Amino acid sequence: MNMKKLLAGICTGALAISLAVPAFAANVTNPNSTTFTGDVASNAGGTVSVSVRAASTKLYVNPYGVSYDLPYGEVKTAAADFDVDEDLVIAQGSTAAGFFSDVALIENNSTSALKVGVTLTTTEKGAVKVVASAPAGGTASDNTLYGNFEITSATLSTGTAQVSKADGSKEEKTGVSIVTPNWADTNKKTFAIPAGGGTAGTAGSASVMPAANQYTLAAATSTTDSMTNVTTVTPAYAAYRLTGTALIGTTNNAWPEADVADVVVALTFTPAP
Amino acid sequence: MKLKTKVIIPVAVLVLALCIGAGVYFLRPTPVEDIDDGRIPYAEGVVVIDKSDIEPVEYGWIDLTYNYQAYSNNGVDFSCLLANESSNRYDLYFDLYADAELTDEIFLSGLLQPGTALDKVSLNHALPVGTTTVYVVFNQVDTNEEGNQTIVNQTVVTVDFIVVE
Repeated sequence: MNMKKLLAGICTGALAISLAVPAFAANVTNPNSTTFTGDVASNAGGTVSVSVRAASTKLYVNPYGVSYDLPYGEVKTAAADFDVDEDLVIAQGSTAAGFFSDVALIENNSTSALKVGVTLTTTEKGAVKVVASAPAGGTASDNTLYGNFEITSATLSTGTAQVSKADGSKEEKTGVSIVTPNWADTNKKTFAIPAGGGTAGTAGSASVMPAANQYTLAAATSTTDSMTNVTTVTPAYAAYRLTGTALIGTTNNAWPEADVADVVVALTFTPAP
Repeated sequence: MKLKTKVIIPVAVLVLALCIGAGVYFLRPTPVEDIDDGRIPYAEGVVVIDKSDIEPVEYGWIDLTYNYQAYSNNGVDFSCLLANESSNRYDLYFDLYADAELTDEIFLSGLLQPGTALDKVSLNHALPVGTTTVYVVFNQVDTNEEGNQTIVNQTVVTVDFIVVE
């Protein structure tokens, strides 16, 4: 059984398996980021426009059938860093391991606070089962995944980080902005990854984060220098990931590479009331 | 005289047939693949939102500018804003679905250059009165010097499509 390989297949919209990176750079450095860049403002249509900056990790659809290359979402690269949590090894021949997706970043440059919600849809492949909560007794006959979408605050600093280049490769760069997610924040919101359809290739029911549970992303703050009249905007940040447990089934006590799950992550952004 | 007639008439008929055939061939509707060489066509009816002073995003990023609500009176024709922000580095197209599983495709656009947007869309089938959550897939496409196209970014957000009576 190759734990790295099995978890490499757990590819999702933001679920590129890796250790939860404790810190990563904003803007130029973090490819898995979502940034609000525009102001939330009324328009003639009586509705509101939002601007989001993002980078994807997975191809969901391809109606034109053209080639694709998502250099900033290489699941296998991230999986190479995966570290099995040996503390989760349990008895009776079953083994559990924690999994973490790449961390994604949301940056709010608008002057309004924003509500961030998510819709998750899970499709199982191979013989894996995705369940909404931990199986009773901590064991399962099938290879099983369960976990949560998490979103929390993040802070900004300056330091050295690996930055993405145009060709998708990375280089070390100093003086870059570093965003550190605060997973211990009491305002962190969690939302269970929904069960799959029960049959390989069949999507389960979509699960929509309730409005009351959505994360409130603070507004950006702006200051204007009275001497130069230059306004500086300080964005607000949030980070999100998918995390949970991979539970190796007792029946086969192995995890084929075909046992994977896709989770479509669709973000919802609305102005906070 | 009869010999000339016997020769001229078939020749004339043959020439006429060839002319008609050539006309039919050259005036036939041009297939899409002849227009765009198999590449994704550009969208029609776009509006310009260009902001010339905006900073380009870094590689690997996409600015998603859109209205989070769209409106219609008939369930098919919606006013909206789906933009390829001026700061983006690549063309993009929109792919809209009425379900979270991304199986019920209701709209597929052509490419939009940075600084352009769609302010209206006509769906493949009508949505019911009320609010439907539509899954909007932003697809960023890089076209190299040889004309080969590659999707370099795909991100999904939700937009409320509202049909009022």
